[in-house]
Order: sequence, then C-alpha cells, then structure tokens
Amino acid sequence: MADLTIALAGNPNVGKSTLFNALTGKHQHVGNWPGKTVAKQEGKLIIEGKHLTIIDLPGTYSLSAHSPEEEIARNFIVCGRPDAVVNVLDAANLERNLYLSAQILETGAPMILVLNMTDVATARGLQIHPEVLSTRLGIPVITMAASRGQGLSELKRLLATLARTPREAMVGSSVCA
Amino acid sequence: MHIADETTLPLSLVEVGAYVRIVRFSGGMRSAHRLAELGLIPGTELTIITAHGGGMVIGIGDTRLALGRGLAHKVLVTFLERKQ
Repeated sequence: MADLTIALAGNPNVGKSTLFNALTGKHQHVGNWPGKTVAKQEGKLIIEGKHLTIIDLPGTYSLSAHSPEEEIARNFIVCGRPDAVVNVLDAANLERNLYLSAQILETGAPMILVLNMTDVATARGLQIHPEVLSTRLGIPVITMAASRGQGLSELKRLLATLARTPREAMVGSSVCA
Repeated sequence: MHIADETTLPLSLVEVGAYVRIVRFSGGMRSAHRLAELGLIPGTELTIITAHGGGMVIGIGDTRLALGRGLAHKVLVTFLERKQ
C-alpha cells in the first residue's frame, strides 16, 4: 500500500492551514495573522487507496533557518524527505512568494506549486498564467481559492498520481543528524 | 507618483504613516541577504504601520512585516508621494 508524506510549505499567511484543513478534514486553528503555525501539524488523507500524511509546516520566508519556525520547516524539507512539497503561494503577491519557491526547488525536493487566493488576485485585475510558471519551473502548478474549495479536487487528483521515489541526498542534508 | 525627495533616511527613523521606497542598504552582506529573503530589495515600496523604539511593522502589498531596530536601521529609504 502506498504511503506518502506530503509537506505544505510557504510564506506566512498564504493559506497553508486552510488548505491543510480542507485536505485532512481537521480543524486546526486558522487565523488571519502570520506566524500562527509554530510547530508542524500532521493529518491524514486517503485518496484512491493511497494513504497520505499531510504535514503543515510553519510559514517561512526562506530555508536559511534564522528563527525556530524556519528551522522546523527547513529540517523537515531537507531531512524529513517528504515525497512531495506542496508550496503554497499568495497569487496576489507572487513576486514576494517565489523566493522561497526557488530555495525549495534548489533542495531537489519534488514540488507542486499551489497559487492560492486566486480569487483575490483576479478581483484586483491580476492575470495569472499558471501554465507559463509550470513550463518555466518544470513543476506542476495549480490555481486555488482554498477558502472556497476551488482547486482542491485538482490538487487531490495530482497527489493521487504521486509515486514514492527513492531520492539522492538533498542539498543541505549535511545538517541532518 | 514621483519622488518627492531624493535624500535617503534610515527606515528606523521614518515616522508612522509614511510611504517610502527602499534605495539601498547600509551594513554587510548578511543583513542584506536577510532583508532580501523578507522580500525587501531596492525599489520595494512600503508604508510604516506602527513603530516603537526603532522596531516597526511595515506594510508591503498585503504583507505586514515586523522589523527589529537593527535591521530597520540598515534600510535606507526615500519618501514617496502617496498614490491618489
């Protein structure tokens, strides 16, 4: 039986916990202020017979581990070797969010980008081209409005296709005990 | 919007409510690197939301960031006129 670990990562206040709750059916506290998730949270999801463990990581701006929550996120991505990292981004503030995406890509972790809050971005007249991002970065990109449940089924479909792949040691894994 | 005043001032000294643009950083690579991680790079426009003794909360787009006095002092900004 497939048993995969999926990590949710992203800047503070982009909707990681909202997505986590939507995926796992948990009721982790969601607040509209940054830095709410200080420790990582864990939940389960079964899709098409696959057992997925979803880890909600604290919001971070980088993987450089300047603060305890950044260290938790960095250590999990690099040492915990999740089968995929779902990087949640605020579509209305993409430029600020992509710095962390670049760092996660550099670790070599398999990655899915979720452009969250696309409803807010669209309301502001922003045009998002997920297919361009996907081509440039070479990873799947999904648009979502997690608070309204939009894009959830697409993400679940994608997660269901994931296979467990043995991986080489990741960049920065020398910090792992 | 145009530049109202080209002279720069450390962000730590700017008063609440001001709308500024980052011009450059003083200090070393380490602090510049951290500021870049937070999305603060030359050209970034921001407002000062609250300030207490050099530490401050700033707003960039939808994001609010708390900056300590040390980092805020290394950010040199110029005043902008508010968008009407």
